[in-house]
Amino acid sequence: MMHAAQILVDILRNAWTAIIGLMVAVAVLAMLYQILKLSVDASLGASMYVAQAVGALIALIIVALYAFLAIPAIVRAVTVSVSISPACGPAAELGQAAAYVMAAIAAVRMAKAAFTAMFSAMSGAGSGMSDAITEAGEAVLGMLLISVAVPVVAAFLGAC
Amino acid sequence: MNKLYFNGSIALYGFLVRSSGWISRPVLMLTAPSTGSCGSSGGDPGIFAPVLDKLLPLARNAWAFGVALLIVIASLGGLFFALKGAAGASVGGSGMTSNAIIGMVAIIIVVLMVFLLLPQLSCMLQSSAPAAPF
Repeated sequence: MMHAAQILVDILRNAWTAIIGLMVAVAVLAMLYQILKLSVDASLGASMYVAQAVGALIALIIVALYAFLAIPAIVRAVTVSVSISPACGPAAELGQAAAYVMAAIAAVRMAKAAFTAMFSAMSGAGSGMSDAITEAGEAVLGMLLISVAVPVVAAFLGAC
Repeated sequence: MNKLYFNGSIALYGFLVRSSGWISRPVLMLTAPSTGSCGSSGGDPGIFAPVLDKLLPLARNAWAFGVALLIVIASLGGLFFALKGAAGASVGGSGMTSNAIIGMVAIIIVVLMVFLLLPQLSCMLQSSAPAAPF
């Protein structure tokens, strides 16, 4: 079971690295796009559009910093907080493996949501960032529920 | 798509070289932030490496294309403001001239942002890219 979980986590780790690498490239290109827009608007004297472009530029930096700093911190915090009693035997091992894989899935889901948020920030749509935060909340809540549910199920099945 | 971006950037570059001669391909490539000069703390993409190998050169070409496009836009914007300033000075319109000067300074600041600030921001993002937290 642990071996299968490890293979899955390795694939998710590769996916995380790929998403973060793509995020850097997309962030830089999005910033270049906003600066192009800004230069056109500055040439035409459209001050409102210049302000919008500057706002979008700042939003892109905030989304990138959220993805690079907040998501790993959330995942680490939730992984540490999910602890299952070692007295439950095989059920505890199963629960630990499940929590480990779920943390990896949650991290990749949050990275994907931040990637989508970056595209939304690039195009000026505001809903992407709230979706990313909702996704993070869902992942954290799911992991906390698992940490409660596994011991209850183990006790119900008589494993403890 | 990759070829399209590449051909587009080459065509634009050729136009710039023919029309002005003050920009060179090394300038475009030197400003490309993804040349690997910044340290990255990310891990190995593993099975997704072929995807990244396809997408990152495309992004690099898009960057070169965008920078070339920005230079064209900034040149045209600068020319417009120069014309406006000259017209204002000819007819004695001091407000028009000062607006043109301010606009030209704004364009210079924007171009400097691309050439100085964006590569530094890109380096910051690359170096702060986190490894997998699990």
